[in-house]
Amino acid sequence: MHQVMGQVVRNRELAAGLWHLIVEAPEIAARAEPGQFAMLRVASGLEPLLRRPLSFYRIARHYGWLEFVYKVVGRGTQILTTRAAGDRLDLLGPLGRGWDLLPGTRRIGIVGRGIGIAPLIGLAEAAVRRGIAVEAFLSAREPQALLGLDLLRELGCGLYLHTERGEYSGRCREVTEHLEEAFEEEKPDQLFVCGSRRLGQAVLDFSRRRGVRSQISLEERMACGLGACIGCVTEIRAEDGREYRRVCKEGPVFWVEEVAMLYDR
Amino acid sequence: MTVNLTVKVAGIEMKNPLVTASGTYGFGQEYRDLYPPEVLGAVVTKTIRLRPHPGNPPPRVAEAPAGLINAIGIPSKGWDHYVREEVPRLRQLEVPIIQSIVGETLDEYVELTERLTELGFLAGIELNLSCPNLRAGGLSLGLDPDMVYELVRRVRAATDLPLLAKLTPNTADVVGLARSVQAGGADGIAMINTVRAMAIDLRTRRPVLGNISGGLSGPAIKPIALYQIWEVYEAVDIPIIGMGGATDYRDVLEFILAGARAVALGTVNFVDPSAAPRILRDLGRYLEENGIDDINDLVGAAHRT
Repeated sequence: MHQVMGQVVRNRELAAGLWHLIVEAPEIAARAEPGQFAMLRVASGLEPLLRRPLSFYRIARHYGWLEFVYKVVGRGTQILTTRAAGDRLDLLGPLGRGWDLLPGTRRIGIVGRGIGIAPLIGLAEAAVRRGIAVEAFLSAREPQALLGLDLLRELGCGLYLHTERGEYSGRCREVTEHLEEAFEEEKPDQLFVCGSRRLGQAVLDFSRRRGVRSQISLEERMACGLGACIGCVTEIRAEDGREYRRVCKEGPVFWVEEVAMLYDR
Repeated sequence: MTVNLTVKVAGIEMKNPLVTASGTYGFGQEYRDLYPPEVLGAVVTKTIRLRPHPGNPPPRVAEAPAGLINAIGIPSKGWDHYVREEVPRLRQLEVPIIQSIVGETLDEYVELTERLTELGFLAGIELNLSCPNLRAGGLSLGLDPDMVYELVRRVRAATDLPLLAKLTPNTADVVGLARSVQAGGADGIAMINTVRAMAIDLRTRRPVLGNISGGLSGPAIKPIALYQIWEVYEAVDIPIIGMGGATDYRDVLEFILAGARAVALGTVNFVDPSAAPRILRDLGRYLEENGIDDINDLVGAAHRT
């Protein structure tokens, strides 16, 4: 974990309310893994007070760049949109536990919705680099919000897309239908999901039925991001009942079958 | 000129007046990548309980203007886990360790104190008297001067270690509480704990926190902390570890001028996890530039007429 003053390389709007931020922070980039995150200090003063957690979208090690995609949801992210190329930005990272590509994995599925697609893109890149085949199941309100689509095409990933408006709106299909279709003949070795509880539940069901080791990236209100405050817990199914674990430290990536909220329906 | 930053608080020698606020610094490991805990005057650890406790349901934190509301609920894995997992690492730290404790009964406070004293490595014990879950006759234990007196007196009899009593600000009579802990035999006072607060989510039209209410910390409470420390400094003789929203060396000096002998950094650790070394550097520079050769000369100096 490093705390550094990074330099903004680019900060621009991709789609309504969705921004792509690139920060040069070589110390963090050198150690960052897909699925991990950084805490960004958006204001230089004391308001808003807390840092904002953003998961890595892409990690460009040889440039020393960290890429993020964030959704403008409140004051903090609104202020972040005003940062321009050349501005300095206080970053803390890499934080948390990232995705696990298990030894022997040859084919995976990434399942993301909206801003939840962001932490899956770096994983897809890393997987393809290792010769792993990637099928991407992505959904969003509009086609422009399907993050990383061009990149996934370049990487040769299989694409299963759905949007509420525009090009991919067609017949409304559940992600489970897509998963069954894509993996009818041969199950994937692993699935990775982020974006909503419903999506997580679909992946949990599929994974239990087909015997797939799957992971989910969770989001929770966070204060410190480094494990000290114990503020960002989620309920985990353990041997002797349920226990709280820190999303910032033991997560944000968890095995789907551990995550209690996916069983609460 | 060399400036003296060492302070002695409740019999604990500290190489500078900066300590951690319980619950913001874990057990001394979380910030190690950024600076060694030995930079600090003392480490006050996360509150432990005798028996395991899960803490409050999430969400546990909410942001407020220049502040943070938390309802963590003091999760603890209990005594055995503490001794097995935390104590060996705490022993490695070459900095005074003050262990914060909470009990569900007076007996639990006493038992924890006896066990901690036997471990032999601690510089002191901080009694968390501000837990709203502890009730005695319908009143929070930490709000009743008689109960607080009785608790400190009993714990005092169980240990020779320096005892700090951490007071709640959520009372009409903080001076009464301070006098009670002094009379009970506390060696020092830690104040202030968080200020009772809540947040409501307009979108869901419900409280944000799983526990409904929580405690406000951060710069928002600094003026409240300053005044309570001011009042208590005038009323008691034992030293005060002041806290409540300090974010830079100016805040630290203001707490010292109000009467604190040491100052705890809390929420600022979340905002700027390198705050302690930064503030320490700035503090030394300020004293030097202003020709003050001993920080102890500033303790309570705002009271002088």
